[in-house]
Parts: sequence; structure tokens; C-alpha cells
Amino acid sequence: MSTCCRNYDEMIHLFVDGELSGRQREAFLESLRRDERLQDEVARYRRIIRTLKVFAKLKFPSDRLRKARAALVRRVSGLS
Amino acid sequence: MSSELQVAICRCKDGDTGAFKVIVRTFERRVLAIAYSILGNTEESLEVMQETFFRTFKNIARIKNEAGIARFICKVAANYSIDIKRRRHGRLISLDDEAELPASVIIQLADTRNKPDAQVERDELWRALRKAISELPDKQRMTLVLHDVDGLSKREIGQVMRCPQGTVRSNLHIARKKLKERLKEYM
Repeated sequence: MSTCCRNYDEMIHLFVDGELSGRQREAFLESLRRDERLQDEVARYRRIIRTLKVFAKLKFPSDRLRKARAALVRRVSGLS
Repeated sequence: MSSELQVAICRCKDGDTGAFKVIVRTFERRVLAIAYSILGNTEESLEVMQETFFRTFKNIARIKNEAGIARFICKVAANYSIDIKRRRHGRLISLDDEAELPASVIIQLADTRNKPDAQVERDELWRALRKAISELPDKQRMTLVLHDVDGLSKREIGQVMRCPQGTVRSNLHIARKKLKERLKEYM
């Protein structure tokens, strides 16, 4: 890519977040086709972001979750 | 504007605690994900869940719509989690494994499927990930969690954290870069 290192890094994040404009995206994809190091970087960031999504799928112990919900209902009932 | 959530917000303003359960049901998973990704501890995450929804109910009169309540809840959950982390005052709280990932999700963790010690590697990655997040400075951690874990847009995070989108973007990129460095042996 014909940009400095800081922009290079910046472009990777914008690309993985789908925030590059049409022309920027085209140029980035062209670089991506030719540059293996860039392909690795993009793949690495995508893996990190995909891995972070697993927090949304955590299963908490159901008995403790039930207790926390019950305590919340008691607190809220005390307000109304 | 008459979705189940919008109706629940309106009814909640009239003190209907039954309607409040709809709000809890809608956002509970998101709140726990935010809390656990910041704290890595089940007991504290459940405390965050309780406190976040309690404050939401107390402030329901100020909340206008679905977008507003999502922003409010995410903000309280993230800020309260960070408060708890600060209150530890260097006390060591272990990252627990009580909150479990479903097996199908564990498989998705990194590309370790065909390795003989894949399970060990996945466990290590899971711990290393939580440790790496917990070591980020507060603002970077909050931005990363709200964007990459919770899925808020940069604009929404700017509103939640009262900072320009450029700052959100910069914090996010730095946080991801640090994670990439700290997790390089797994990814």
C-alpha cells in the first residue's frame, strides 16, 4: 500500500469494520490480493473480533442467575 | 414505535414491574457479556446485572425510546463494571470459569480443531483473552467491549462515553492492537 505505516494499520481496522469508502476499499482489496503480510494481519484481527463475540454466548449458572433476578425484583418492588 | 420493548418502557414509567421483566429479558445477556468481559468474574457480573437494571428502573422516566434504553443500559453496565474493578484496589480476584461457553462456541475459538491438544489450547486462549482485556486501560477496555463484544456503533459509543468518534476509533484500534500482540501465540 502506498500509505505510511500508521495509515496502513488504520486502514486494516476500517476494512475489517466495513468502513472504507468504495474507492478506498477497492485499493485495499488490490493490496490485499498482492500482500501476504497484509492478509495475515487482516485474518488475525478478524479472529480476535470473532473471538470477542463469544462473550455474548456465555452461560451463567442458572441457580445463581435465578437468585440475582429474584433479588432484583425485590429491590425494584421496594421502589414502586 | 409499538414494539414489545417500547410498550414495556411506557408501562414501566407507570410503575409496572411486570413490564420491567421484558426489559430485563431483552438486555440481560448483553449486560452479562459486558460485565464478564470486563471483570472475568461471575459473582461480580451478576452484581453488575442487578445494579444496572435497578438503576434503569429508577431512571426510566428519563428514557425516551428503545435506542435510549440500550445506550443507558450499556453505559451503566460498562461504567459499573469498571467501578468494581477499580474498587478492588489491587486485590487479586481470580478470573473464574463458572460462566461457561457452550461446546459449539468453544469449537469456534481460534483454529485449533485439528490439533491433538486443542482443548488445552482453547482453555488457555480463553484465559489469555480475559487477562488481556482486563489489563487494558479503562477507556480502551470500555470501547473494545462496547464495540466488539456488544456491537454498539462508534457513534453510539461516542454518545455513551461523551467523546468524539475519532477518539472512539483510536481507542478501539489501540485496544485491538494490544490484544493482537498479547494473543499472538494463539492466533
